Amino acid sequence: MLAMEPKEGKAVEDEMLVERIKNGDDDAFRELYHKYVHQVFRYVYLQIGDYQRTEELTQDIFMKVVKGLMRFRGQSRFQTWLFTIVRNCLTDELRTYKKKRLTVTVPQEDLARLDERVDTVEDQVMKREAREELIRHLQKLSDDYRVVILLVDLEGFSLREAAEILNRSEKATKSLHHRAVRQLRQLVEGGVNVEYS
Amino acid sequence: MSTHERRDDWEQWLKMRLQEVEVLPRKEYMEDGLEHLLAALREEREKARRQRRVRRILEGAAVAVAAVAIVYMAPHLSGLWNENGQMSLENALENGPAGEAQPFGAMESGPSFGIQADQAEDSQMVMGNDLFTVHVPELPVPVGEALSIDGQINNELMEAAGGNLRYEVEDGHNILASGAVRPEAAEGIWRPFALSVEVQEPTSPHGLLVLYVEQDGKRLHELTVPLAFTALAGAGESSGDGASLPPAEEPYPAQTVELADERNTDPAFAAYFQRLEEAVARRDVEKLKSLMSPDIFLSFGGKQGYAALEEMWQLKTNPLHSPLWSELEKALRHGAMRTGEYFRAPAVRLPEGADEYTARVIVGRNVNVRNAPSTDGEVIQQATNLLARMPAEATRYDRPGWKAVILPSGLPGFVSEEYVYEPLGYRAVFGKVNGQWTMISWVSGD
Repeated sequence: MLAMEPKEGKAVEDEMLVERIKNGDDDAFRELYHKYVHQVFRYVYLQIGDYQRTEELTQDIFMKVVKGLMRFRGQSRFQTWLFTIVRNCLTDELRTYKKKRLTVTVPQEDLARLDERVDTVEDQVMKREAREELIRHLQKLSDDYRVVILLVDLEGFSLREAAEILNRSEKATKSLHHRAVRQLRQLVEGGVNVEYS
Repeated sequence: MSTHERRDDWEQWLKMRLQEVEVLPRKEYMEDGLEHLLAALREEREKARRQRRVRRILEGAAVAVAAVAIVYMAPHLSGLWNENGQMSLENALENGPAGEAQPFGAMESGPSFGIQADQAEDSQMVMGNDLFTVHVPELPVPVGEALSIDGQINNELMEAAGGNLRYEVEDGHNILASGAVRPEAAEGIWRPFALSVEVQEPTSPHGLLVLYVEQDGKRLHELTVPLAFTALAGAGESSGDGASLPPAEEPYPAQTVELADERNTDPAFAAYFQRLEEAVARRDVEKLKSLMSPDIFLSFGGKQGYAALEEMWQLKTNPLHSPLWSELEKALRHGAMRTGEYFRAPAVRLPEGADEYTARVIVGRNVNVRNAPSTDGEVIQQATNLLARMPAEATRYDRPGWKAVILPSGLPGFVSEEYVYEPLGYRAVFGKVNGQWTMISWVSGD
C-alpha cells in the first residue's frame, strides 16, 4: 500500500469537509474554520501588522470562502484556493496600508490558543523575542518578498502552489523566493540596511 | 560545506523560527465571527439548492445543456420553462399566435454585444409562453430611443390568472423601466398590446425585457426576452475624428486573469477539441454539425437545437462567411477549462469576486490600449491578460471592432475587439452525450 503524503492526506480531509459542508453539515464548517483560522490570522497579521484590521480582514476572507464554497470544485487544494482569496484581499490592503504597527494589546487569557498547552514564562519570553526579531526583519522586506517567504517558509506551500496563489510562473516564483530569502538572511545577519516605508 | 548547503541550512533555521511565531485571534472574535459565517453559509446553501432544483427541472425537460449553462452562468432563468417545468417556447416559436407562422430570417450581421435575437429581413422573431407572445424588437436597441414592443396576450388565461400585467426592462444591474401592460380590446383569444419604452443609460450592453403577471406579490407567467443596447449614431463623438474617450474613473486594484487551458486533462476531450478546431479552420459545416449536440442550447430565451443555430448563423445560406466562424475561433483560441464534468470555452478564468457584468478582459501579451478606436490612435499602455472594466455607459463609446475599457489606473482607452473577452459574451459548454464529447451550449448574455 502506498503511504499518503501528509499534504495529500490533508487535502483529502479538506475535500471531505467541503463535501460535508455542501451537504448541510455545519459542524464540518466549524472544523474547517478552526483548522485554518489561526493560520490565516497569523498570515494576515504578519502582512499588515495591525491586530484590529487583521480581525476584520480575516472575517472578510472567511466570508468570501463561504460565498465561494458552493462553487469550489476541488480543481486546486482547498488550502491553495483559500490563500488565493487571502492574497486577493491583501493586495488592495497592502497598497493602501503602508504603516505597519505590529502591536498586539490583547490580554493573553483572551486569546484562542491552538491547544491547551501553557508555556512557561521562560518559553514565552524566548518566543516573544524570536518572534519580534524576525517580524522586524520581515517588515523591512518588500511586499513581494515578504509574501513569498510567508507562503513558502511559514505556511509550507510548495513553489508550484505559491506560484498558483501569486499568479506567477513557477520559475518566477522560485527566483523571487531565492532573492527574498537571500535578502532576509542579509538583514538577519546584519549585512545590509534596507529602508522601508 | 557548499554555498547551497549553507543556504539550505539557513532556510531550515528560518522555517523553524517562523513556525515559532504565534499570532492568536481572540476567543470572543472567533465565536462571533463563526456565527456570522454560519448564517451566511446557510443562505449560500439555500441558493445552491434553488439552482439545483432548477437544474433538475430542466434536465427533466431533456435539456441538460440548459441546466449546465444556467447553473454556471445565468442568474436570470425566467421565461425558459412554464410552471409545469416544461420548456414553453417551442410551440410559440413554431406556430406564432393564432397560428401565424413566423419563420426566422437570417441575421444581417455578426453579433457585436452578446445577445442578439434573430433579426429577420422581413419578419421579426417571435417569443412567447402560454400567456404572452411578443415580436422581439430589432436589436441592438439604440440607447435614448424608444424601444417598441408589440405582442399578444391570451385573454382566457389572463382572466383565469387575475392580477396585473406588468413589464420590466433591466440591464443586469438596474431596472431601466417598468410599468403596466395594457391589452387592447379585441375579439378572440388573443388580445394585442404595444409598449413604448425609452431606454436610458444602461450600465451594460446586455439587457432583458421581462413580461409577467403580478399576483399577491408573486410573478407568474414570466417571459424573458434578451435585449442588446447600442449607442445612438453620433453619440459620444466630440469631433470629426470619430469617437471620444470615456471619462477617467476611480482607480481599482490591478488583477490579471488566468488562461486555464485544461483540455489535456481528458485525452478524449482534447481529441474532440482538435477536431472542432479543424472544422472551424476549414469552415466545414457538416463536420461542425457532427460535433454539436442536436439539442444544443442557444439562448436564455429558450432557443435550442442545431437547426435553429444553422438558421441563426446563416450556415446554410452563407456557409463560408457566417459570423459564427470568427466567434467560434475567438472562443476556442485559448483552449477550454474544466468545470466538474464539463469543459468551457473561452478558457479565461476571472479572479475571485470580479463583476462579470462589467468585466472586459484584455487577453494576449502586450496588447495595445489606444486613445482612439483606430490603429492610428496613440498607444497609451500595453496590457497582458488584464482584467479591465467597461466604462459607465459603455454603449456610448464602443465602436465597430473596438471596445472601450477603463484600465486599473482609472484611465480610459480602446482595445481591438479581437483581444477583449466579456464573461457574458459568446461561450461554449462541452459535455458528454451518450459517452461522446459534444458542444451542448453556445450562448451569450445571461
